[in-house]
Amino acid sequence: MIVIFIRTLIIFFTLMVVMRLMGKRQIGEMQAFELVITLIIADLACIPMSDVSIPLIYGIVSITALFILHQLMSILEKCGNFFKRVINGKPSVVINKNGVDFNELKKNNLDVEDLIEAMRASGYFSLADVDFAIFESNGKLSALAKPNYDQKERSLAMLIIDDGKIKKDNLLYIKKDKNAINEILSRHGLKTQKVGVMTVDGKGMVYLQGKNKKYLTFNIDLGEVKW
Amino acid sequence: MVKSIITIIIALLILTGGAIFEQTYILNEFKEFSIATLSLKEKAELEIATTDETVELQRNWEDKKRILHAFIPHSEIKEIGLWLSEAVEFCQYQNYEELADKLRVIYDLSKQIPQSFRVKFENIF
Repeated sequence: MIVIFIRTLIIFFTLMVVMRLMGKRQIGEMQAFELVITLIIADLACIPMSDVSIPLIYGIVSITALFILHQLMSILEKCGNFFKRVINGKPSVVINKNGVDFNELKKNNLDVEDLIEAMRASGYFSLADVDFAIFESNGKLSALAKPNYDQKERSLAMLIIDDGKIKKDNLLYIKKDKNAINEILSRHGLKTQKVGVMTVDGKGMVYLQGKNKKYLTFNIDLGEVKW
Repeated sequence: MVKSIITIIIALLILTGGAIFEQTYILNEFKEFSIATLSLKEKAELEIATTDETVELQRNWEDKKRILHAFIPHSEIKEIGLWLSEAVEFCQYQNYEELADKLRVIYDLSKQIPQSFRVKFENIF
């Protein structure tokens, strides 16, 4: 019985560390320790239930151990910011007044594509729509829209350059080639490799941000292409 | 928070109590069984073991097994039952050498099995 208890503790803390190291993307909407418990508890309940040769007490002891850990984590969470940060992590501001914070994205094992996807899930279809975006410790994205967001005509932004790499498939949507993109970039003193993110929406509005630079928005002529 | 602490303490007390009971129970049951097995093995070596005594040991084990299954996976103690059945057979045919061998294996198992439930490095990892 003590052996199972100790083994449960070891597995719990191993999973907890792994989940925390994997970053917010893996967590979904739960806190790390809640996800760990959810992952383990299903199997713990299943195995002794389905395998009659395993004493039921094995499942009961493990689940009780998880319950104790859950209660303990909840108490530690309330004990102060230090424990809360260790257990749950802290929210990350991934978009601020200067644009996308690439370092914060990297810290959370995310890239611009993940950020844009999370923004779309939150109802924002362009990086230019928000002043601030925060990845909460439970993996959810919270965003503060720009003051004029409600009056603005909205359009889906296409990712054209992601971390210095041109997305060839998306170039087809805006009917431009690499040379046209390079020309736009050179007008702003940038090279493809130095671009952190570039998006173009259906109205021709470009969101351009060099690595470690403030973002800028401007319009380009998309000709007949509109979406 | 007080409620959480109380539930933790209660759960820990139940687990600790259960663990102490489990360890003590398993050790005692196997200790009793190993003493009975050793005694029968000595009789088998002297060729004075009877079928009734072997059947009694088998019955004794079946009684213990019923409760031990609540703490030990069935597969871990399955062999003892099988060896005992063979031992009864050897005793009926007065094959004392084979009977003593079987009882020695059963005795070794009854010493080893409780060890796999103790708090030891090799059992945890």
